[in-house]
Parts: sequence; structure tokens; C-alpha cells
Amino acid sequence: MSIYDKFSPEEVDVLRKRAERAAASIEDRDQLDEQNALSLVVNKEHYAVPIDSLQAVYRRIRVTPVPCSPTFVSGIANVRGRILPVLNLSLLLGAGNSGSDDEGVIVAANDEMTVAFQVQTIGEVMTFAQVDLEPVISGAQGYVKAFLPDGSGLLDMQSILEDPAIEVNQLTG
Amino acid sequence: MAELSDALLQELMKSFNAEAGDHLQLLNQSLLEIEREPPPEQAKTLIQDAFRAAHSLKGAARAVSMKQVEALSHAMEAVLHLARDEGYVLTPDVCDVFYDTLDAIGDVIDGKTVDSEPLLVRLRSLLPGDASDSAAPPPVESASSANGKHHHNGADTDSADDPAPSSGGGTVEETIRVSVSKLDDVMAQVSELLVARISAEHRLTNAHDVRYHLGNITKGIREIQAFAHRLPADQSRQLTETVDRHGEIIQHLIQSFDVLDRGIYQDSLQLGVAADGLQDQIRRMRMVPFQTITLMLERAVRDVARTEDKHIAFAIEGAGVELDKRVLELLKDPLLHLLRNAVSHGIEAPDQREAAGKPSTGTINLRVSQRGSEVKITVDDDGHGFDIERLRQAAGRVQENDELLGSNDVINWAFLPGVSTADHVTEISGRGVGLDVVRRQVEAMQGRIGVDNRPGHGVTFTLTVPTSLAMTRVLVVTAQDVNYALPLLAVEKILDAENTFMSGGRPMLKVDGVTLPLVSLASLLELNMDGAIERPLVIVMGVAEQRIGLMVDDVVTEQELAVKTLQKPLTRIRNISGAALMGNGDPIVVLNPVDMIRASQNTHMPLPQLQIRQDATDAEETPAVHVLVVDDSITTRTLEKNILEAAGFNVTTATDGVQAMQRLKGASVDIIVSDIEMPNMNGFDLVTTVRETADLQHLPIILVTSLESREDREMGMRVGADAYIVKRGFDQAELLATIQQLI
Repeated sequence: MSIYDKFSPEEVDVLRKRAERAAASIEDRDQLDEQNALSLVVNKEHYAVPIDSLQAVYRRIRVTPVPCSPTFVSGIANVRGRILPVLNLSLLLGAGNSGSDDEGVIVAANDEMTVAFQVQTIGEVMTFAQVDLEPVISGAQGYVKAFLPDGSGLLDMQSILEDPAIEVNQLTG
Repeated sequence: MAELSDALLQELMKSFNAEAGDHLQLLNQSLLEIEREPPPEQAKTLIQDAFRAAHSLKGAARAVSMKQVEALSHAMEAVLHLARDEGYVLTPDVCDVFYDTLDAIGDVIDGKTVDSEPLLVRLRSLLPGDASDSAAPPPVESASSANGKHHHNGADTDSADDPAPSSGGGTVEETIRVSVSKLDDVMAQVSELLVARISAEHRLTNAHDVRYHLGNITKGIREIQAFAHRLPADQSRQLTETVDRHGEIIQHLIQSFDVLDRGIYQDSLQLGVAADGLQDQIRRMRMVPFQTITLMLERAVRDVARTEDKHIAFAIEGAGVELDKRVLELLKDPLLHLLRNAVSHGIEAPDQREAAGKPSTGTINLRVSQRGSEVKITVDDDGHGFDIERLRQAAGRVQENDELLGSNDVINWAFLPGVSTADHVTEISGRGVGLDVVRRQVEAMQGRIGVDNRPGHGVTFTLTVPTSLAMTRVLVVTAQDVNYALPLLAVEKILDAENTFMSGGRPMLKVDGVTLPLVSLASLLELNMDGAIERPLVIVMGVAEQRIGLMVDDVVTEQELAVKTLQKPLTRIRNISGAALMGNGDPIVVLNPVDMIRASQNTHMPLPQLQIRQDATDAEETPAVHVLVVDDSITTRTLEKNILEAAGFNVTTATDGVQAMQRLKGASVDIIVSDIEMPNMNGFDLVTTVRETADLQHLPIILVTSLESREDREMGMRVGADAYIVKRGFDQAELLATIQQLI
């Protein structure tokens, strides 16, 4: 009886891929669909964002508050000559309000908008492979599509940008 | 010259300035091109152009008696004559003299004092000996041009040979010069038009209101009709007829109104379209081609290159791209800086270049291209580029480090203030102030700048600026220590916060005899209000006919800003119309006056702690009304005292009638509010005593009591009280209203 009998065929598959990866030489890694992600701490919770989905990262940006706006809107900031909206990522992720401890912003964009998100700590760039990702069990926040091996939630920035909930449209009577 | 009237002289000078500007430009341009050693055919044309320009400039200067300009032009003309006909070579040294002369003429025209002697000497010394006689300025004739005797036809035979200026075939577009200030005025008028458009939209709301009320009247009429029809016929006939007739009238009224309503809607739409279209057209009128500043840039590059003894080939591409005149003005400084930097610090000396295997002539390219509503300008050189290590070291010496930097971003350190890799400070650049200022200047016009470094091979700077700026004049105000921009269009006056009073529980302001609601900016913007404001200011704001008094902590300044509407996801936020960047790079929120006025009409907002004087009728200097509150219950006394003081009264208390009389002897009381059931002397007796006292007879007295019976009320009236309020349903409004009535 092989120890593999305990596992389902799918699980054996995953195990085999992991074994292959561990055995792979550095050169082979390119073929294993690896990506870079920036690790973040948002109000004491750990997240990561694929580098490809970010336009820029800045530390210590001065944010000018915008009155009459919802709490998740921290304000606006001058980023390389452009006035960008700054949203509080902590509140958007439902991780609570980190107050003024935020160290920097990450900037993401799509066709319609460019937005800066405040984060508590900007960490290191790390590498991960698609195979290492664990899918999100239902019930987790909509913006996190997968978990990395260390437990950080991998953020899907596009889903945040496309979420109608972040749009502030106060029609005046 | 015959005596010309001042006005005529001024007009002549204006045309001269314009014409002279054109000639100077042509001369500068031609010389720059001649210096590039073009093929002989082209060179010939260029020299002819330059000659003609100098010649015309001379004539024009003579017509307005600008002797210096005339002399200098004549001297240049002589040299150019030799260049055209005798093959005189215009070497860089010769061109130097010319450029200095052209600059000097420019200065004279600008009104500066110039000593033209040294230049004349230099110009004359350019000429070989035997030609110098003909270079002497012609004797000044006092002939007036009125009798048609033109000096040209006498001494200068060349002018007869001048071919008429050809424009190379095709249609010549008619142009007209318009001063920028006139365009700005028109722009301001268009803004007024936009306000009218907003007002028209309000009319629509008004119209809807009226329509609504008419609808209600119709319902009412129907009810009456129904009722009338139910009455017996003989009684109701006249009533029915009248009601029916009025019903018809209302129907016609409603129909006419619907026509009116539709008309208003159409008109306001059209007004909007016209106003927007007009604004657009005017913005386009202010567009000028990039060509306007190319001469200045070319001269700058040439001058720096000459000073540093470097050979530079400078080419500009896309000079036909049009930009807003103001944007172009703002681009001059940063571009000049980048170009001078490129020559000074980018391009190496010829021998260094040869050693590196590069051509001894450095190349600088400036390319202008349009992308939608933006203009992209690239400045690239083939010098030695930024030395990343030197940059890192230089940045390390500087404290500021506010950006996350990957290896490609190190280059952005060059944009931090105080960073410079130049090891010598030249007069031109390299003090380490440069690129930081450039970035600020570009960002101030809502632009961006980026840099691409090719170590050893050069640098490319890319500037992106908007094609046109919508500049709005604003008033910068402060609320709770934060600055906000208020469009000046909506500001009528700025006053000190005096003449404020309460009316119907709401703060008001009296301005020029008109009463306006008073609102604080801090409360409108839902800010946390901490601390009282020392000396608040009130801004009288108006849109269409709605006006309010807006209270702010301070007014900082008035300035022009390029306002951008907020972008998604901040699609629309109340009270805010957008944001702009201030000179120091900080964003400032720009307020929306229409929203603010509308909001201030809807809610009653608290004002920060301020002395608001209670004044019922008008806001003249009246001392606070002194009320004497008499009641044996401490609770009631305290309650009444609080209510009255909050409303701005001055309150004294007494525990019974005896104490009350003592108080009355001491201070001047304006009105008494008294209980009835008290020890020592009750309310009725107090009233009687007061009415018997000589100088207190007419003092108003309000009896406030829990006694409800009619007998007590009558007793109160009989002894002479002015009013009687029952305590059970104690309503402060009633007390205050009664007091107001009696004082």
C-alpha cells in the first residue's frame, strides 16, 4: 500500500507538481508561471498584491482631506503632478480603520480611473507560483481571490476598482 | 516731425511695437538658420529676408522717431547689404554682434535705456574700410511724411529692387491681432453666461413648484364642484356656474403654464449649449502654435553653446502643434532650463566626445506632439547621461526621501531639491535647485515630467501638459485650519462678522439693508469644529439671486488655479466642484457655490461660539434687554434664566416680591417675569406695588404660574399685569414671543 492511496487523484496531482517544483533547477522556474507580489500589512492583516497590477508605490504621501465624503475616502493627493483620489484600503477590506498609521499608498488603475490606496506597511517583494495559491473558501472578502502559502490574502485590485460600492456619487436634489 | 497728438502717437507706437517685433523675430530666425550653414540657394534667400527686415525696421523706426533703433537697424542693413551683394561672410563672431544688437533693440522697444554707441561701433567695425562711409547714418531730415516725400526713395536704391513679399501661392489667411487681456475679458463674460445658465435651471425648479400648486388648486376646484353639484339645483346654480367657470380658467392657466414650462426648458438647454460652445471657442482662440517660443529656445541653446565652446545641433520638431497661450508661457522656463542643462551638463566637450567615439557635434532634439487633450514634449540629447552612482551619492546628501525607489526610480532622485551631480556650479545651472523647480513648474500646470536615462548615451526628458488650462479665479479661505478655494465668480463682498443676529432661531446677517442667512463654512462642510474663531470673516456669496453670508476663519488670498473636476470613483461630492494644485504642490479642494447655497437653505446649522447679539427688530447697537425673573422655586428660576440668557437677554433673579422690589430699585430692568405663589410678597401684590411706584408704572410684567383658573387670570389683569402664561405646558417659545411683544 502506497502512502499516495490516502489522497485523492487531484491531491496527488498537486503533490506531484510541488515535488517537481522543489526539484526544479533555477532555470526551470521560468516555466512554472511565477509572479512577483508586494507584501502589505493593512491594519495588522497581511496581504499581497501582484506587482503587475500596480502602477506605482509611494511612501509618505501627503493626503488632503475631502469634506462631505464617506469615511473610506481619505482624500486626494498630488502624485507626480496628477491629483489622485486616495481611498482607505483598510476600510474597504473590512479590516477596520487603522487611523493615521499608514505608511504609504499603492496605485492601481484601469481604463476609467487611477486610484491610490492607503496601506499600513509596505513590505518586500516576494515570488510565488500559481500552483502555490490556495483558493478562497466561500465567505472571504470579494477582493481576495486566493491565499498565499504564508496566509496573506492575494488582492485582486481590478475587482476593487470595478466595485460600484467605491463610487461616490451624491446627486444633489 | 510735425506735432502729433498724444493719442495718435500712442496708436503709432503700438503698431510700431508689433511690427518691430515681427522684424526682430525674422532677423533672429534668419541668422540662426544661416549659422547652420544651409545650401547656398537657401542662404541667399535667408540673407535677403534678413536684409529686408532690417530695412523695414529702419523705416518704421524713423516714422516714429525712434532714433536709436533707426541707427542700429541701418548699421545692420549695411552689413547685410554686403553679405547679399559682395559675398561678405556672416561668421559666428559677426552673428554675435547682430544678436546683441537685436537684443538691444528689443530692450529699447521695451522702454529700457540702452547705450547704442558701443553696438554701433562694433557694427561699423565689421565693415571693410571703404564701405564704412556708406554705413554712416543718413542725416536726419525733418521732412514730414504728410507731403509724401519718402526718404527711402532717395538714398537707398536697393529698396526699389525689393520684390514684393511672396507668400508662396495659395490663400492667405486673414489674421488680426487681439490682446490677451481682451480674450480674458471675453472669457469672464462667458463665465457670467454660465451663471445665467445655472439660474435658468433654477427657474425650471420654480416652474415645477408653480405647476405643483396649480395642480393642487385644480383638485380643490374639483372638490368644490363635486360639492356644489350635490346641492339642490336652485340653490347651487350660481355657485356651480362660478365654480365651473373658475375651473376652466385654471385649466387654461395650466395649459399656458405647460407651454411656458416647456419653453423654459428648451431655452435653458439652448443657453447651456451656447455657453459651453462659446467657452470652447474662446479657449481655442487662445491657442497659439509652439512655434511662438522656438526662437527663444534656439537662441538660448546657441548662446550657452557659444559660451561653453561646444558644438550643438539643435532641432525642433512639431512646432506647429497648438497650445493655450498661457500653457506655452508656463513652458518657457522649464524648457529653457532643460535645454541649458543639456548643453551644459549633458553634452560633453568636443574632444571628450571624439574620445568616446561620438561625433564632435552634440545633438539635442525637441519634439512636440499632440495626443488628444495633452501635448507631449520630449527633450533628448546624446550626451553622457546621468551618472547613477553620482546621483545616489548626491541624493544621499539630501534628507528628503519620500518615495519608494526601485532601481529604475533612482533617476527620479534627480528631481529632489538640492540634488545635483555637477561638480562645478555654472552660472546657468547646476546649483542643485534646477530639476526640482522644473518638476514643480510642470506640475503647476497640471503636467507631468519623466526621464529616461541612457548612461553614456544621453537623457530623454518627457513632459506631458494639457493643451489648454481652464483657469479659474478663486478666493482661498480657511476653515478649521484647512484651506479651500471659493470661485471668485460667486463672491460679492468680504466683511467682518458684525451685524449678526438671531431671527426665528437662525443666525442672520444684515448687509446693505438686506437680511441674509448666515452659515459657517465649517458646518456646511461637516467639519469638526473645535475652538472659537477669534475674528471670523463673512463672505457674501451669491448665485443668481440667492445670497448667503458664509462665515470663514480667514481669507488668505486671491489667485488663479487650474481646476480639475474630481475623477472617478469620486464622481460627485456635494459642495465640491473639484480640486487644483497650489503653487507649492499641495492639492486644494475647490468648493461649489450652488450646492452650498442650496444646502444652507435646507438645514439649520450650528455656528461656532460667537457673540451673537439678540436683536429683534434691526441690528443697531442696542444693549441687551434686562429681565427680572421672580420665582421662589430654584429649579424654575434656573430654567427660566437659562432660556432667557440663551436668547441673548441679561437676567437678574429674585426669590419673592420683596427681593424683586429691591432689585428694581438698584438696576434698570426692562421687563419682569414673575411667579404668583411666593412667600413674603406674591405675584399679584408685586404687580400692584410696581404699578404704584412712580417710575416703574409702565414696566411690562408677565405672570407665569401654575394657577390656571379664570379668576386668577382676571385677577392678574385687574392688578395690571401685561400677560399671563400658564406653567403647566411650559413652552419657551411662548415666553420668548411674549417678551418680544412687550418690550
